[in-house]
Amino acid sequence: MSNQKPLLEMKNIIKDFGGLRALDNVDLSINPGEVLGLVGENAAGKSTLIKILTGVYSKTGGDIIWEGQKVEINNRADSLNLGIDAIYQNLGLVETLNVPENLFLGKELDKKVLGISVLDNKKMEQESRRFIKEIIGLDIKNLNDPVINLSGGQRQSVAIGRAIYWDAKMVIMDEPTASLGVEEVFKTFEIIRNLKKNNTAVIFICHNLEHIFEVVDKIMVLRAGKRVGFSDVNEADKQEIVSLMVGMDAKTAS
Amino acid sequence: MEEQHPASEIVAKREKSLGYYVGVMGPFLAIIIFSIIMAVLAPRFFLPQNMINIFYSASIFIIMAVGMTFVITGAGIDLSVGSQLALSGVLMCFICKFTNIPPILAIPIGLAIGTLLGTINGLIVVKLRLPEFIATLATMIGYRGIVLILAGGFSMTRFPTEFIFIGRYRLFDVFPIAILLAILVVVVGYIMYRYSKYGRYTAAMGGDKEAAVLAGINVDKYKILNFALMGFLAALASLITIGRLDAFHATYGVYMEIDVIAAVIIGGTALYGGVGKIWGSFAGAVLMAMVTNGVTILRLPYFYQYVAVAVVIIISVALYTLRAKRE
Repeated sequence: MSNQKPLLEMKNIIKDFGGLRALDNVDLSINPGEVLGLVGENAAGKSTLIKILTGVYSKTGGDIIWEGQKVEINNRADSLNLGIDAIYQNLGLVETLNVPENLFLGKELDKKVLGISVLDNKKMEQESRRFIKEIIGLDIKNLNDPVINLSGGQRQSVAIGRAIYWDAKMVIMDEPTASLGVEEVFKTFEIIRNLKKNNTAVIFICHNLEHIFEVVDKIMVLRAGKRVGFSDVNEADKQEIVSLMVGMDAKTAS
Repeated sequence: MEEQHPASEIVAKREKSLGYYVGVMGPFLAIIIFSIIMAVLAPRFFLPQNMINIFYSASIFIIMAVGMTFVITGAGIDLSVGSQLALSGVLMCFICKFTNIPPILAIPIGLAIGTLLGTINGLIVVKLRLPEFIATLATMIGYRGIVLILAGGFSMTRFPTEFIFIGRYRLFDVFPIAILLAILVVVVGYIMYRYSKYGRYTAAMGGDKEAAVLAGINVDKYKILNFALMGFLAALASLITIGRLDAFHATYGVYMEIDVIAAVIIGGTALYGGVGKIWGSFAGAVLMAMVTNGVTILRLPYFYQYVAVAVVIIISVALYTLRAKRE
């Protein structure tokens, strides 16, 4: 274990929906620049846990400690202010908007014209072109087309690029490889490694254990709202992880 | 081995297809085609006086269509626009007729009332979580009911000049300032759509509400603002409607939602939100006015215009759908 100060610690997180306990005293810890794979079957609580981090749900109990400080995340704005970005299956992009509009969505650049603040579309476009090319290493020619016209991989690059551009300290990726082709999956891994180099922490949720083992540093297993496993990826064994996910003893399973 | 380009770099250079131009220019193209038809059938259509008439009656729809463009772009709908026009109108007229308030003040009060009516729509949708179709269907009936209660039995006319000048005054006795006002609304609307956060966030929430929320956008706020703007513009259109004829009838604005929504959709705004075309809505409203005027010029019975409008709607929406499929 490193003695680095964790970026995020979640302690004894509880989330109830009416009478249903979706998360039961879940702990999580992640360091800057670390990639944490979050696995579990459907309804294990993965989405609930990350929605607490993104401010979509509020927790019923427990503490969230961000950079050593206890914080409350009550809405999406709180979460964004801390530096938590999220890339969901639909990538969080508005498909009818173009690349610059998406890259700057919610944080538009503006300029003053006759004392009135207006959007500086030109500057946003130039900045996007430069950034996408230099940092993401992507050559998107049709920058002003709606994002829906881009390939899946390009769209993902834009989504992740947005996180990098805005200096997210942590990026949550929910099933980012689910709908991608082989080559695009590798591109995603490359981007995750870039995020890591950038000292950005990543929580990576994925059903595909091959993909998990490819990029993560640590693995956390949830089952029925409880944390049932947490280990360094080098010490983890695929068979054991599967057993933990489905709730069978590793020995009986093998 | 040759250096491999990642798949993501291979970007098909899309030719701007014929469909693309039909999409962008569609409503303007339709105006030209319709004009050619009219040139053959009834050259009187092109008399300056008739052209002014077309734009004069279109100005009411243009103003409302700008508001509706924002509503629909935000993945919404407002069926109550005609009733908002009538209700803000009747209240303004009452102020002129039955109070000691200076008639000029009826204008800002009326605009405020329109904004309030729109805001009520927005609050019902956002706070009570009613589907917009149902919420505005209810207020369409409700607002109209209040109009009929207040002024169902009589009509009002001969208003003070200060009140009706916006709808009535003509530059050099020829050119109605209502047309200039409508064009001003379109220009301001376009700037708001393209260069303000309000416009950008409306397009974002209409395109993908969840993504907009994730980007930290307060979608409820912008939803309410859209309805409020619609109400304000309905009241502005009401001023022109009343001023043009120097009269108020309780039936003003009945079926107007059909024309206004049609103008917006003909103009190329996506019916399910995300993409707004302010200038398209302008052209759509002008086209609707031309068709209505054409029916009159050709001395066809009044109700033929419904059929003509239906044909225009079907053709234009079908063209967009074909284009969308091809892409």
